[in-house]
Amino acid sequence: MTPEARDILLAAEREGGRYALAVPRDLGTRSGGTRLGSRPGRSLDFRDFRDYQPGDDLRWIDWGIYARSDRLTVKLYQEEVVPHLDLLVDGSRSLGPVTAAKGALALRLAGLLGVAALNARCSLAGWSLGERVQRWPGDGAGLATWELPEFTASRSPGESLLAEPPALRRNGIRTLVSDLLWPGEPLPFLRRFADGAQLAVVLWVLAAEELSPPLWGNSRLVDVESGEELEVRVDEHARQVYLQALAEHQALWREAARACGVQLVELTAGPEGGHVALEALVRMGLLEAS
Amino acid sequence: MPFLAYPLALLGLATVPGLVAIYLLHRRFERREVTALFLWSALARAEQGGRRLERFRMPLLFLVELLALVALALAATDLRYLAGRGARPLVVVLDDSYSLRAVVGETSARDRGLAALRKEVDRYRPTSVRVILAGADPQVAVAAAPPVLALDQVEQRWRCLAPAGNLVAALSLAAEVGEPGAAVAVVTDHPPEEGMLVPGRRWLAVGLPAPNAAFIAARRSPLDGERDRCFLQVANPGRVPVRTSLTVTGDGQPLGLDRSLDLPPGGSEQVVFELPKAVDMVRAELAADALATDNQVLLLPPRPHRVRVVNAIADATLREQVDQALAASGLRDPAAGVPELVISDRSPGPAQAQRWTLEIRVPKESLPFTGPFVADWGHRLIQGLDFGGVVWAGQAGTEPEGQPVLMAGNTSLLEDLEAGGGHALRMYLDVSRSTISRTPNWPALFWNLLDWRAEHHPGFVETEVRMGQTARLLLPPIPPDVAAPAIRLEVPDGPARELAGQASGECAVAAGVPGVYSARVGDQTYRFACNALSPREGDLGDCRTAGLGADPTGGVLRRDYASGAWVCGLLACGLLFLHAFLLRPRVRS
Repeated sequence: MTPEARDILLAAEREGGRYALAVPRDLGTRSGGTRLGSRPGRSLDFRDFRDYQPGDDLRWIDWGIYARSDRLTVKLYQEEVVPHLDLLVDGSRSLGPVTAAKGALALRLAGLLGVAALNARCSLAGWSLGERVQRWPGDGAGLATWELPEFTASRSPGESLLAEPPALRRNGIRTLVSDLLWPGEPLPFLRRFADGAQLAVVLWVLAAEELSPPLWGNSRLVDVESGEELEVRVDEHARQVYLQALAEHQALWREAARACGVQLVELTAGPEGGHVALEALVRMGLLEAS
Repeated sequence: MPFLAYPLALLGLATVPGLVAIYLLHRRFERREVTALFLWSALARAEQGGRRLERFRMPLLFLVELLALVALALAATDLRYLAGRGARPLVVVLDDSYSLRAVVGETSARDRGLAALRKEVDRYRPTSVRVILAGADPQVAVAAAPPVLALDQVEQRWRCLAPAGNLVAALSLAAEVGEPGAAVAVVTDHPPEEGMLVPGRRWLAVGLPAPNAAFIAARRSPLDGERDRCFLQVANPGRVPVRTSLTVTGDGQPLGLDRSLDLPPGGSEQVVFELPKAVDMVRAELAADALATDNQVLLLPPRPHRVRVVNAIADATLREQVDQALAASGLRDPAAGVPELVISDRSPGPAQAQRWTLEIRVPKESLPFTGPFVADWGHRLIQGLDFGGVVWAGQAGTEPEGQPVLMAGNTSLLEDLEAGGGHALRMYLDVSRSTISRTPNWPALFWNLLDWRAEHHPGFVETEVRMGQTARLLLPPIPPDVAAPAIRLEVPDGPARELAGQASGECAVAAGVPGVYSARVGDQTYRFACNALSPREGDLGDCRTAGLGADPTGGVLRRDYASGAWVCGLLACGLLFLHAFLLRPRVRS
């Protein structure tokens, strides 16, 4: 990692120290967890009784109640959960260098979420969606040990995630930091991303220039990832066409996120982007003051 | 000059000098990196303008653009050419049920239907024809196609082999797929039912009433370990008495069951007979009549439903009682071979997909239970059993290791441990202190066990399938680290084909044509026979010939000349596509 990226992460660690990841109450994974969940499970903590129903496992029948009342009653126990965060970060070149506002915000968000997860005693797995999908070294420890790859991949997360689906933890929390700027149908990507997750959140980071491009005049536009070129005259008409396409792209993702139960947080990179993002995450309940 | 009467065409030509001027202007594009080029791709190429003159750099592009402008100018002149007659599109619904194979006189209803359809198409000259085959599930056989092409495809695809013709569903499909205002023609062998003949619909009934005898049921089932019993039902669904003859052969040899049958209208006759040993295929045929499809049935040996059991119980009393229950079930296969079920009062070894186990553990200090028993009544092993009044001596306080099937309080008496793709069943029973073995539950329990085990034999679940149904093939178990073998399927009406190996352990084969289907999996071959057994299709009494309904196209509109502007427009579109292709974004290496 570059010194600039390391500085951003350390700043995020200081800033995020006051926050913890808000673990949903019904987050469940398996027996032998570190917290009690809100659903019936198989821990030793008794929860409730209810009448036996055909199909219930006979092993959970309370034979003492049966002997006394001649009624089949099933014992329910509290489940135990292990809160877990899978933090996915877009590694594509479109996020830009960390010296630019967009890349800096993406890195800062990853740092904030990472430190908040550690504050909440969540296990953490950090995944970089670059040329390949890989866990970055040191993701389980403090941010100082992270070795987050730079944003240099020419492959979009849409291709990476579907081609090499990572082993994301079931019933965990999943967050993705990305600009979602790649063509194609978002539903398969979001379905795969949210499949089996208890909570799935996408932090959609866009640069101010992407939301409102300047009037560049005659330009040869070069895609930073694919290298494709297009010669256009960027005047007010072209800008409107671009904004229309962007609006349709955003609407497509919003609709797909709604269909897949994924929460979408739209953030704009800029001087105040970090504070705004933090407030948005607190407001939506993903972070809470620790 | 007539050309000057078209101002749009003049305007189009006037743009040509403008185009030349644009090409003479110089442009300069500045390189800019963007993160989402696809959002810009909706833009057309930027206006090509500038102040400096330069010589032509892309003459091909210029040529394409020039030709496109000329084509558009010509389109604006509304060029016309001599045209034939035009009418509305036509959706043809063809009854695909097998009753249309009935031959009365020298032609089948299908042949007459084809001729009638050709005549209709010649008369109305529709712009396009779509064809829907009305089988049990209607399907689009021909998408919108020119009439000649559509009729050729109808000849190939209209086979009349469906077990039923669902015209109501087919007409609904026709309304969905047909263009607005399209006419509909129905070709079938019977007149329309009430409400089916509506304006814009032509009903071509091409059937002829005829007497017909038909098989409507056929079954072959095991009688004992070696012989089978067959059941046939022959019916006369029509309105006039029918005399026919029945011929039955086994592996091509007469079985001495030939007889004549006199069937009153709507009547049927059942024939039951036992087969000699080792007869493979039974073929039953009726005398030739109008409909040959339902004059024959094939019966293959039923799927083996007996189980090779090894009774390795050491305790003599218990072993005898288990042997008696197995014998009473009638499902035990006495043949030697790899055991499919091992019963033991000691460790029977690991269970596998092909080797299930039942371990009867005899408690050292048994405690008799008189109930109430708690059972998982959804489990296959205890279906139909009644434990009222039963004394079952088990090991008090035994907790279940697998899925409990029967418990007395918190004591497990019978449990199921799924392992290795098979089942390892465990029973805690002291038979000397129990009454279960002296109740009907005992043989019923073992019958359930053997029947359940036999259901997992590989092969087609049914060896006789009615036409139009689906045959379920259970595949032999495959070790987890071995790829599923391919299945070679041979069908009666076409070449053999390979089906991909199924990890699910079973696959489905659609039986669409009467005859024998065989599936080869590894070194094993499994077969089933498909028979046409529909009384409704066998009823030819209601068949009629009629052409009902008015001209579905609503009259033919003659047009001597048609506009050719679309040709010019199409040419312009093609040139513009070529233009876009030439200007497509290229990846810089």
